[in-house]
Amino acid sequence: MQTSFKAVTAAMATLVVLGSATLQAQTNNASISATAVVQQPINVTGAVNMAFGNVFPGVTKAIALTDAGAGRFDVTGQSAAAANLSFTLPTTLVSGANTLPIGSWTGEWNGANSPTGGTNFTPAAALTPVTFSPTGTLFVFVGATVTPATTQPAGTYTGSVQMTVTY
Amino acid sequence: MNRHFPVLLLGMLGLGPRPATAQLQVSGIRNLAFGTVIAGIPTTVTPTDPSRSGQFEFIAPTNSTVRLDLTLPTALQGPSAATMPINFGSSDGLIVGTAPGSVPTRFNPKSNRTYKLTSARNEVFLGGTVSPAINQPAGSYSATVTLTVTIQ
Repeated sequence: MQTSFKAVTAAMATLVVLGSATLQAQTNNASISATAVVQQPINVTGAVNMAFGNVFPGVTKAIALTDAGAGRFDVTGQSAAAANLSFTLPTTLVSGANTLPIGSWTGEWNGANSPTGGTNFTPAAALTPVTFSPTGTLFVFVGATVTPATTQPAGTYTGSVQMTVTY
Repeated sequence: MNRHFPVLLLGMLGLGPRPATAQLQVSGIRNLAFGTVIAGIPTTVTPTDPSRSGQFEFIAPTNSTVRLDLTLPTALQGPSAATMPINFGSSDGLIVGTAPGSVPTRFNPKSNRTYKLTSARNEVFLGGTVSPAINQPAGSYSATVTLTVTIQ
């Protein structure tokens, strides 16, 4: 019994020492993840200018989306990704000091290069949600109407249409 | 008396390590999330970003001295074995206690740091920068960040 008591006492002493050592060099850890989702950059090209051709004083002229004179932007980006369009639009075309009103904007976006079968929208500064095609393409068609006055001076009138695409 | 020895011994076995374990707790709270990044454009998350910075929390005795070791990746792993470099700047680590008056302290997460605690509960935040190549394959990338806390 004495032997047994000594053995247990020795074991207890050892345990106490081990306990103290653990307290002085206690270590613990945890992990988190670092994450990112890579998407392809957006590339926008003004592919086709809007062209009203000849217009006449007092005669309103509209360009439909399916007309040859419709404007077109070609966009590439991340396949099937959501994005937004926004436009900076002129209210007039300019020829020197003379101006020609332009408005009634129309638009369509399509994953395929076609002015039909896509989604119609009204170009504006406000965001328009769009989606890239499975191959990462997006085509945007733009039409509008010019309204020459009956006294509209002759000349070549131009303006800029700017489209911005963001994820 | 013999009957009491095993009980006493078992008690010692339980009491020895248990208080030590309860003194230090480390938890991962929030991932370091870069969100959507564009190929060719580096993206940085600061340690003070309230929603995208990585966050750990640890609990240790107030006034104790602890050593922080962060195990950091050099790249995130993506689809088809693609990798994307990730870097950590010299002030991308931030530690702050939760006790009133605790002062946030920036530190270099690439080096271990010894810190005298003024709070029992402490937050460690982590920022970083990913640098996708111009031809970086699209997809989701991730890696593991580990915080090891040692009471000294």
